[in-house]
Amino acid sequence: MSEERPRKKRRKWGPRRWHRSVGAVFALPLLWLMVSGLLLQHQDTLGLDQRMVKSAWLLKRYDQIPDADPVVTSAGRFMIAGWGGMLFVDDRILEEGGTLVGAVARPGELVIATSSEMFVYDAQGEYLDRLREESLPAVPIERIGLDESHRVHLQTSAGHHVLGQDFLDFETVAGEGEVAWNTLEVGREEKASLQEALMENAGFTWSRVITDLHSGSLLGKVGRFLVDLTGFAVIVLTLLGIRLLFKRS
Amino acid sequence: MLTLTGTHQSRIKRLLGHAYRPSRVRYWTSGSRMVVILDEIGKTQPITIGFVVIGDKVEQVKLLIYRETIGAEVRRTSFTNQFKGATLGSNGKLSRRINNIAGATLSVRALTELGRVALYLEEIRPK
Repeated sequence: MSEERPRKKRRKWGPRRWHRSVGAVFALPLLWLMVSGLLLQHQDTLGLDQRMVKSAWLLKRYDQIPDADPVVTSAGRFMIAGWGGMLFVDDRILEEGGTLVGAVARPGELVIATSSEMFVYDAQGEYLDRLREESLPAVPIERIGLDESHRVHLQTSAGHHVLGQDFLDFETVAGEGEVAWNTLEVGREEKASLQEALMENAGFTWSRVITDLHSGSLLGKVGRFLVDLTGFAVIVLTLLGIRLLFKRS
Repeated sequence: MLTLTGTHQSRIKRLLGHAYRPSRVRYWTSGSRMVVILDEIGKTQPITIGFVVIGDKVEQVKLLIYRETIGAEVRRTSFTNQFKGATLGSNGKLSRRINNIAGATLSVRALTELGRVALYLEEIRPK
C-alpha cells in the first residue's frame, strides 16, 4: 500500500489575508486619490486654479482641439480660419463662432460669413456687428463674395442676393454677375499656429484636470468605476481593520 | 447705422446690466418712427426683438425669434402691449411697469432691458 501524501493544509482566507490582499491591490489607486485630494485641498496655495494647461494631448481629451483640419481663406490683409466651429482672424480666436463659409474685405471692414450668421469687424479686426438669420436674405449661407462696388453678395438657399449699404436691406440678383466669390482651402500649414492659439487660450486650469483625475472622469466610465471601486476598497479595509483589532483584543 | 461711442457703450451697459458688444446698431426710420432689432440672451438662447419707437415712446414691441424652450408667453400681444407708451426715465427705468410672467422671468427681463436700450438709441441717433 502506498503512503498517502500528507494533504496540503489549505490556508483559510481570514481577515488578515483579505486586508493584506485588498490593501496591496488598491495601494496605488488609493495613493493617487490621497495625493490628488491633497493637491485639490491646497489648490489656492499651489496656484493650481490659476495655472493653465498647455498640453495639446490633454486639451484634445477635453475636445478643445478639433481633430479635423481647419479651413482658411484670406480677405484683404487678414487670414481667416474656421476650425471645429471656432473662428480665427490672424491666429486670434474670435468670441463669435460658427461654420465658416467665407470672408470678404471691404474698405474699412472685414465681413465673415458662417452658415447662419454674418459678422462685421473694423479694419483693426475689432467686432462691430452681427447679422443673424432675421437680418439676412436666408440661411444657410453658401458663399460670400464682393463686387467691384464693394457690395457684399450672398449665395443662400433662397438664391443670390446683394446686401445694401450698411446691410440694412438686400436685393435679389439674377444670375451670377461680376462677383469675386470667396473660397475656402484646407489649412494644413496653418494648423500648428492655430493649435498654438488654442493652447494659449483654452482656459483650462490644472485644478480642473486634477479634479477630473481625482474623480476618474478623465478616463471616462472605466476611470469612474475604478475610483468607486477604490472607495469601496477603503470601506472594506476599514471594516477588516476593526475586525482585526477586536480579534487581537 | 448708429456707431456707438465709449460713452454710449457705458450707458447701455448700465441699462442692460452687461456690456453690449456690437459697436454698431442698424436701424430703420420712417418719418419720426425708428425701428431697431436687438438680441438678448433669455435663459440660454438669444431672443430677437423688434422695437418701434416714435418720439421718446415705445409704439410697438414684436418678438421676432424666440429660441428658448420655455417662456414663450412673452410673445403674446397681451404681454408686449405693456410696453406701449413707455419712456425712459432719468434713472434708466421704463416709465411703465412690466408685469412678470411666472416661468418666463428671464425672458421678461431681457425684453425690459432691451426696451430701455431701444429708447436710449432713439435718444442718441442722429435726427
